[in-house]
Amino acid sequence: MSDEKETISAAELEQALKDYVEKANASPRARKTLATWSCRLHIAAVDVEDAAFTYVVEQGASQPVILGLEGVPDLVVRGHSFDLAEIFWGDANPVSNYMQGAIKTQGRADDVMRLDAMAMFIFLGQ
Amino acid sequence: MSEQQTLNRALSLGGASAISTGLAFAAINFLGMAQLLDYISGPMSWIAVLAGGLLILGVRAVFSELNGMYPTAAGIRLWMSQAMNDRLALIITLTYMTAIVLVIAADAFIIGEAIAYAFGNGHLIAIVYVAILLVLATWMNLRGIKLAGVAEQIVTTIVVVVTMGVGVIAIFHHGEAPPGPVGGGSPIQALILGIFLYTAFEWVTTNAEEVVKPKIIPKAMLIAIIVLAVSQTIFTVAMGLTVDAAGRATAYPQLLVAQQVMGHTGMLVMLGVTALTAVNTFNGGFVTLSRFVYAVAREGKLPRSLTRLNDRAVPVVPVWILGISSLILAVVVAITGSWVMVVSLCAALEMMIYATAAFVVWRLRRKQADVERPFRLLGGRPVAIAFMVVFGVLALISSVTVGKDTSAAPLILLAILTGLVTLYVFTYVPRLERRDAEELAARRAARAQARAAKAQEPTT
Repeated sequence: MSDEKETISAAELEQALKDYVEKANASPRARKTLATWSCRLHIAAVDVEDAAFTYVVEQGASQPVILGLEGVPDLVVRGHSFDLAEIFWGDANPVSNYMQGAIKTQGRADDVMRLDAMAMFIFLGQ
Repeated sequence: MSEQQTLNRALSLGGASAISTGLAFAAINFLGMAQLLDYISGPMSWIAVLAGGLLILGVRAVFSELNGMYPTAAGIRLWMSQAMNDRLALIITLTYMTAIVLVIAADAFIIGEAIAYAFGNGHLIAIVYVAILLVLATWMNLRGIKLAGVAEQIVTTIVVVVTMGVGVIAIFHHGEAPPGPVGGGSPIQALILGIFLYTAFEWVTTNAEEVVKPKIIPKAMLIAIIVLAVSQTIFTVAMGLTVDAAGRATAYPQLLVAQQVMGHTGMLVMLGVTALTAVNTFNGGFVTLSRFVYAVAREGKLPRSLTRLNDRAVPVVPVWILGISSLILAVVVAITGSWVMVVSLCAALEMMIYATAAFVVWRLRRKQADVERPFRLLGGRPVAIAFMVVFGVLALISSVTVGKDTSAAPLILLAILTGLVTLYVFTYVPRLERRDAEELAARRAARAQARAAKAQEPTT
């Protein structure tokens, strides 16, 4: 996290999330370990208008990103666009940002944990 | 989070109250009640339990304010690091986490001893039971098996209702009451143990993100305190009226209460209740501590090996460490018979964290005066500082008392533990932080380069 955070546009954030979804589906470890995990996530940047997305994971498989907030979520993730983008780029990990208060969540800690696990499998190849 | 939103699987008031009650109502509480009766006679013991409850209402107000400001499972790390140096916050948090290991070990020991007593086995067999329980708890956690919310509510309800039922029967059908404490009482010690009976109720604040209305957590804590006050007051008085000093010095005084008034069947019922308290403790303790260790490791403050996940997304190493350390501790307690010391240590750690939380409220009232507070501690900074002093003194007293004796042993143990944690935080953590910072800088530089190159690409 930088002191003066750069604002990431909604389009760039969407692209970052789409790349993330692609990597998640391409990771055999993520698919296997999270095979029982289903979660509807609402992701919203607090500093960029219209930067709100719905990301659905069904039995470990990431569905295409939906623009806007759809349906009742299991987990809500909010944060500065830069902090969110850094997670999807793999530069920062979700739990670290979460522990430092950079992103805020609403939902079960289990889901946050699994979201972090997914990031770890994708970017660290654990 | 100020914005209200509907959530799938949101935690209800009932669920949150059950979690708060279940976390506080551990098997070690029965030993706390027994020790309390060494300082105050049975019929008067309700005063100590209720006085403890009154002070705990203050603790609830402190945690409600902090939880309202930082409604997150990472709350303790967050609010402490906002109020004080991050290194100091980390030392306090990691030291405090040992309380969970102590409670898990103590509960395993108590249940092992209780089973051995119920089935007429010896001390050695009790240790085998302890080992089986902890191996089972570790295995279940590694498999990702968790008590579901509804099951947690049912377990807690059974524990509370049966404990109260046995207590009421004992109060109305007891024989000649055993003599009161020998050598005079000690109101302060009784108060510390009275407070001890409620400790861990505040861990429900780690579920803050699962509720859709911010007021649910403070309300749930209030309900839990009332339920704990009523049920534990009844059972403490019942224990004081039925079990003598020798019985209270065992690791299973709750079984003796039931046995006195309901015979063998009653004793077996109470054995079941004791086992159920452990279900909550093991369920909450293992999950809370292993996930917390994982998160701190992901934050870059603990070694990376602690972030290794198994195929069920369970942090393997923290669960193994917790299982093995609890087992070692439980066996040491069983061999040395030092469970009274465990109560002192747990009480001291809890009072320490209550004093710290009050300090944080005091500090943040000035440092973050503009931050929204859905719940405010009545009386503000003067009351916060008063709580800090009171719980600081109580922590000190707890750490130099073992049962009825004055002993520096708990204080020495805590000093060694804190010293080791401090050494780790000041020598190893800077290395981890340096490595993480270098890696992050490299990733950011590569990212910036890639984005710059992309921006320069001609648009088609």
